[in-house]
Amino acid sequence: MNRVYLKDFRKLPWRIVEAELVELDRVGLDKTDAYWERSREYWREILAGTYGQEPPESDDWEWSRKPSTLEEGEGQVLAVRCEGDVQGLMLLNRRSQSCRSTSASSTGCCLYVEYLEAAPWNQKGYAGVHVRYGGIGSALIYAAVQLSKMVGCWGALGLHALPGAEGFYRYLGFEDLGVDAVEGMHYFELGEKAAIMLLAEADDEDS
Amino acid sequence: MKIPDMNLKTFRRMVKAEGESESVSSGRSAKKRLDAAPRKASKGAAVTTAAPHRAKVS
Repeated sequence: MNRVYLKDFRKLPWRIVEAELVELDRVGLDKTDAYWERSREYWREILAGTYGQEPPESDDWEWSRKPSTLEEGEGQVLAVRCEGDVQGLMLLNRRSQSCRSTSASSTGCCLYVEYLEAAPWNQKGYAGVHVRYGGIGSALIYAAVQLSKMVGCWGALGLHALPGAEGFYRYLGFEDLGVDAVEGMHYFELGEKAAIMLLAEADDEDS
Repeated sequence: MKIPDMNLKTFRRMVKAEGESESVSSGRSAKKRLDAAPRKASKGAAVTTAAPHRAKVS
């Protein structure tokens, strides 16, 4: 098992719980997408009826339609699973790409995070104060950094962040390379130094 | 796939970042999402669909 941790907010004070990283195949991804969509529908009703609020930015995402790279053998879907449910998903492109930032990586390569999302019931944009688990993005980025190290990219990553998530990636040490004219979103890269710091500082604290 | 187990210090450091944001979502552009065909399920289905985590809203 690949162990990670999450914050369990269901009882106060919240507590840290163990979760696992698992790889999903097409069948597992389709099942998860269907389950998540039922949850999205539920929370949309709540948001519209009770608060008149808009759902989060990723509301129209359909995970079962996303991974064309999965069929092409380049994509890898990782899930954070806790208490039997998939609490978050990430689609990582296994084929390393060239970094846009010249200082990101000594090898010049990075892995690209195609998509990353927490389950609807774990998103503040849907569930507000009723979110169940936190730390999902951290667990998945941790996995991406480790996989990047394994393929020789020294932990370097690239991704396009949704506006509400830009602060998260900046805080983790990703460099904001500005708006990508093609995608219309900010493109971020985690350089190898930042990746090493992200993991090494924590290792030092353990000792 | 064998990723080293996360240690608690790493976790504690990284989750601080989540307090800095509304979400953690990343992905390619809206263009790709708009290109996708609509789901089969109609919006009205939500009323009769079991809510997986309904018990949380009390």
